[in-house]
Amino acid sequence: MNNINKTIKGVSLLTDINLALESGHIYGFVGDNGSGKTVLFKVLLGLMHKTSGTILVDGREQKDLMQDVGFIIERPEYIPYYSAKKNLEIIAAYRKVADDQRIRTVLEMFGLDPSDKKAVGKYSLGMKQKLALSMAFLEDPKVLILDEPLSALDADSVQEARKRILEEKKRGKLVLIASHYPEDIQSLCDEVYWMKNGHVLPSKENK
Amino acid sequence: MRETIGAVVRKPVFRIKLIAISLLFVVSLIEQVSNNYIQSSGQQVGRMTVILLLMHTFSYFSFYLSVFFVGYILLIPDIVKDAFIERQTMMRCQSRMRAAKYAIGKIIAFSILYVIWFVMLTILVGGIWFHDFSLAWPKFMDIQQRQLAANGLSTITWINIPVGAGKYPTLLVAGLICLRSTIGFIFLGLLALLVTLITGKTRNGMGIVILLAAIAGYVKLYMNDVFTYWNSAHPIGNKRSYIRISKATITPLFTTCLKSDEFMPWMRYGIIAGILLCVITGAGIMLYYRKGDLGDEDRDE
Repeated sequence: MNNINKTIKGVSLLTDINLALESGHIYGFVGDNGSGKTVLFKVLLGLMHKTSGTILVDGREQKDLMQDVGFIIERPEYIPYYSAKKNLEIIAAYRKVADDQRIRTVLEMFGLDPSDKKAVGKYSLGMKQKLALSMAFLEDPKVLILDEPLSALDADSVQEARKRILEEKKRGKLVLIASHYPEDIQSLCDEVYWMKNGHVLPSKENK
Repeated sequence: MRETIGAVVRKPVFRIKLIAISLLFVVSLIEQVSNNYIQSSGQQVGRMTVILLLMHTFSYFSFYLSVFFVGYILLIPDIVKDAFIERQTMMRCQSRMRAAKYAIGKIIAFSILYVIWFVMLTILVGGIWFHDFSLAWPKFMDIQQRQLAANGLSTITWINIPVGAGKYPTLLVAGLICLRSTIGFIFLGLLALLVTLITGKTRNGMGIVILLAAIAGYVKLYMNDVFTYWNSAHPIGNKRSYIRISKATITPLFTTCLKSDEFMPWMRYGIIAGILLCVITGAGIMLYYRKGDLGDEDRDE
C-alpha cells in the first residue's frame, strides 16, 4: 500500500498509509473506535475507493475488488432464518469453489454442527461469530481480513480460532486482524500496527 | 442468483407483505368481476373471459395506485438490498461491474416474478369466476371500441381496454400489456436502487417511487391527465388549451392515459420509454458501482 488516502466530504479517514504486507505473516491493527481500521480493510477489499495512492498485489495494481479473500468486516453477515450450513451453501454457490465436504469441514473447524437445522437468528453471539469465521475460511482464500474475529467467543473457542489462524499463516496465507484490544492479537501477530485518526503509527514488532 | 432470490422469497417479512398485498388484490379483483356490467346490459353482447380480465386488470390505473405500486414499494427494501449478506455476495462477484450486473439482474428477475404472480392470481380468480378461457374477442368489445371511436371520453366502457386493441389477437394484446407493465416495474426498481446507492438510505429509494406514483395518481385523478391553460393567441371560444402532462409521468409505462387513446401507439410509447428509462438508470447504477463506495449499511440521519 503506497500513500493511501481516503477522504469523504472533506473528512480524512485514512492519511498517507504506507505498508508492505507479505504472505505467510499475520499483521495486527489496533486502535480505538474511529481510528480507521475498518476503513483501511474496506479500502483493501476494494469496497471503498481510495482517494489517492496505490495498492499493489503481487506487483500488479489492484483497481477492483480484491480476489481470493475471506473476510469479516463490521458485523457478521448471515441469513437469520437459515441454518449455518444453508448459509454457507448459499455463499458457496456464487463461485462454486467450496463443495459440501468443505462446508462441513469449516463448520466443524469452528465448533459448529453441520447437521444442526436451527436458524442462525437463534444462535448466541459467539455462535454467530463462529459462523462468520467459517464463512471467511470457506473458500480457502489466499488473504484473510478479519475485523474483531475473536469477539464474543468463549475461552476455548478463542484458543481454537487462534490455532486455525496460525495454521493459515504456516500455509503461506496473508492474515490481517483488527482489534480494539492488543492482548487479543499480540500472541498471534508478527507485526502490530497502531492506528489513530486514520494514521498508522510506527509499527511495534510483536516479539 | 436463484439462491439469492429464493432466500429473499423465504424471508418471513417478505412473505407477509406479499400475502397482504395479494389479499388486497384478490378482494379488489373480486369486486371488479362481480360488478360486471356486461351481464346487466340486457344485450347479447358476449361474455367476459379470463384473458379480457387480465387485460382489464393491467390496464386499470386504479389497480396500480391501490395495489401494484403499494406492493412493489413495500418490497423495495427486500429487492434492492441483500440486507443480510450484501458484502459477502458482492465480493464473490469478484469485480464491481459483475456486482452491478448482479444487482440489476436481481431487480429484473424480481420485477418479472412480481408481474407473473399477479397475472397468475388474475387467471385464477378469473378462471373460477368466468370459467371461460376463450381467446376470441367477444362481441361487446367490438361495440365498445366503435362507441369509443365515435364518442370519445363520454363513452361508458364495460372494461378498461384501449381503442384499437380489438384489431390484434388477444394473446398479443395481453402479452404486450404485461410486457409494458414489467418494464415499468423494472424501471421503478432500478430507480429505487440508484437513489438508495447515491443517498445511502433505502427509504429514499422507496420515497422516489412513492413520489412518482403520487404524481401520476394526482395528474390522473385530479387533473384528468391534462394541464389546462389560457392561450390568448387562439380565437375567442377556443382559448382554453391543454397539455397532456400525463405523458411525462409514469402512467404511460403501465397504462394508457385516456379511454380514447389508441392502443398500439401508446403501447409503443410506453414500451420504448420504459426501455430507455431502464437503460439510463441501469447506466447510472453501473457508473455508481464503478466509482462509488459499496457495501455500506444504511446511513444514519
